[in-house]
Amino acid sequence: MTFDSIKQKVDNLLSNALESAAVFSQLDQKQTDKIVKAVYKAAFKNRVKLAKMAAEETGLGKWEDKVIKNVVGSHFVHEDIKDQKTVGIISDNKETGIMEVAQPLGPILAIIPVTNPTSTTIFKILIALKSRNPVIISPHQKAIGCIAETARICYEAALKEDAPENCIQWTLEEAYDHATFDIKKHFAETTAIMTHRDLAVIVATGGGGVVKAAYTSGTPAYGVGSGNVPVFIDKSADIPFAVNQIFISKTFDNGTICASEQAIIVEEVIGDKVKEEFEKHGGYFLNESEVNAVEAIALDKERNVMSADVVGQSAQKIAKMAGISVPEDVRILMAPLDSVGDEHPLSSEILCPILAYYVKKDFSEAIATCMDLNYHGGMGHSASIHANDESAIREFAKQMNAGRILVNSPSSQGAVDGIFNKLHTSLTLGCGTTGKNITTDNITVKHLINIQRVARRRVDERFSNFDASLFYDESLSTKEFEKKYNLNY
Amino acid sequence: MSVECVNECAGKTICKFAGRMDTTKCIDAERKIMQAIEGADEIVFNLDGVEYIASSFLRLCGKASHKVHSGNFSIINVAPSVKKVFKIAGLAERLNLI
Repeated sequence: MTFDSIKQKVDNLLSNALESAAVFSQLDQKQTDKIVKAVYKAAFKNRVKLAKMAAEETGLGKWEDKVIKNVVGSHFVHEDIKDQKTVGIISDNKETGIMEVAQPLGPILAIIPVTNPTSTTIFKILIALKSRNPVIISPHQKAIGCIAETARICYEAALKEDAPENCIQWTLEEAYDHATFDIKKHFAETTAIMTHRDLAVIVATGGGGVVKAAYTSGTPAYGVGSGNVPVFIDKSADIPFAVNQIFISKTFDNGTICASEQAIIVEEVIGDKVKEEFEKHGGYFLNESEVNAVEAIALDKERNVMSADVVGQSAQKIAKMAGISVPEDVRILMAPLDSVGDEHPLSSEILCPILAYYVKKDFSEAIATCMDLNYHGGMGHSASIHANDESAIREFAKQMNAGRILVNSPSSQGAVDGIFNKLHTSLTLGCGTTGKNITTDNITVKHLINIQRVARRRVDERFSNFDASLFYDESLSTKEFEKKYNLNY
Repeated sequence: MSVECVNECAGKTICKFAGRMDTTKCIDAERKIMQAIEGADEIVFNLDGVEYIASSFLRLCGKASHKVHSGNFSIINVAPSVKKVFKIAGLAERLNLI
């Protein structure tokens, strides 16, 4: 494919999308909700088929857990957004005189990651349609087939409810043959879409490279950051409960969710009890030479990031790759470490069932280690605490730099939630400015509408009654000014 | 009837639309319109009473506009909500909305 043909293809995509956005602008809330509901139902109906396709095509995670992800991406997302007003007048405050009018943004580019391909596709389609925006799905090159199928199912369901033509488009379906896939063409095409004048916004979920490309494209973008989730188990925690929650989360889809736990930090006083509980659940504590062996296979030394070979693999498989013999019931590999940093590769984010494990003298040292982990590649993402002492929770929250601080919950599920807390259900987790994102929010429908504010006249009485000549009186102190300004108010 | 085409004077054809111009109606109307405008020098689409247009109507406008010289196709009496559709799609100027 030449540069000209890529340009032609991208121009057609965006021309179709723009036309779709135009037609979409005429739909009212009822029509919009009807389309969204139909798409949710179709995606939900196909949750098992799509999960199996995703697991088989990507070779990551477990299809059973991907079914749950698809349930989250369809059912829980729909539950979260179905009653939200996204069309026309969405609020009217008589007291302030501010009326808010929702307008769609226009064509959205949705970048889909390999780790959660079908669920993220469903999620992004639902929030795009709910906000009356057409969406172009750009799949990860290792998940083209399952993502295209998800988009096709959703599009057909949308059309049956008279959704605008081309409200869902997807790229790369013709390149499904992974063996002949040309990554350079893929990047050229994605870049051409990102920088196209008619694209309204990019919602980029994926690795640092694609998120940076989105932010530097010149088109407004929502991105995500990398995580490195520290989990502090406070001495006030219900330890068996806490460890059980961690297992629910860290083993889920073999740890492919970026909000999954990466390191456990405990105070010395409960260290033995926590270790015993982990072992009871299927945690295997590596010795020093085993830690070295796992480090050797878990890190991509050239790029100094986690190795793609271990992402989404089971603890058993990873142990085998590292040449370690572990009992059959082992589900998580625990790596006792003293410090945090590049010289300790297992203190970094690794999306598989490996957990770094730190025992610290007291609360203060434990929080300090949590901060080190948080600032070692996970700024702005998520942090987790298990505690029943409110002061410990508050202190932890103050010291962490995280968009989501999960309490007594599995962090994978808790961060994307709708199940364990009342955060907006989302498969795109903003990481704030330190994570190089514009927001720490869970990205959802409200991020895909422009809100126009109609400001009715509500004049400040103090201003109208104030002697305006005093504004020019330089001898008037701030204190005197405030006194006069607020007189009889 | 949602579409009515008349030859107002020599070479000038006016097509008047009404109601919702959704996909089904556009498909039904397309043949009739293309026949009516065949050979015309000037084409006017009158959208007085049109409250909704689908993508297929935008395509129909594009197709009709190519039948005549630039500037000889126009769309008149467009309701604000429908005008916005042409504006968002970037077609208002190209299709000569009046």
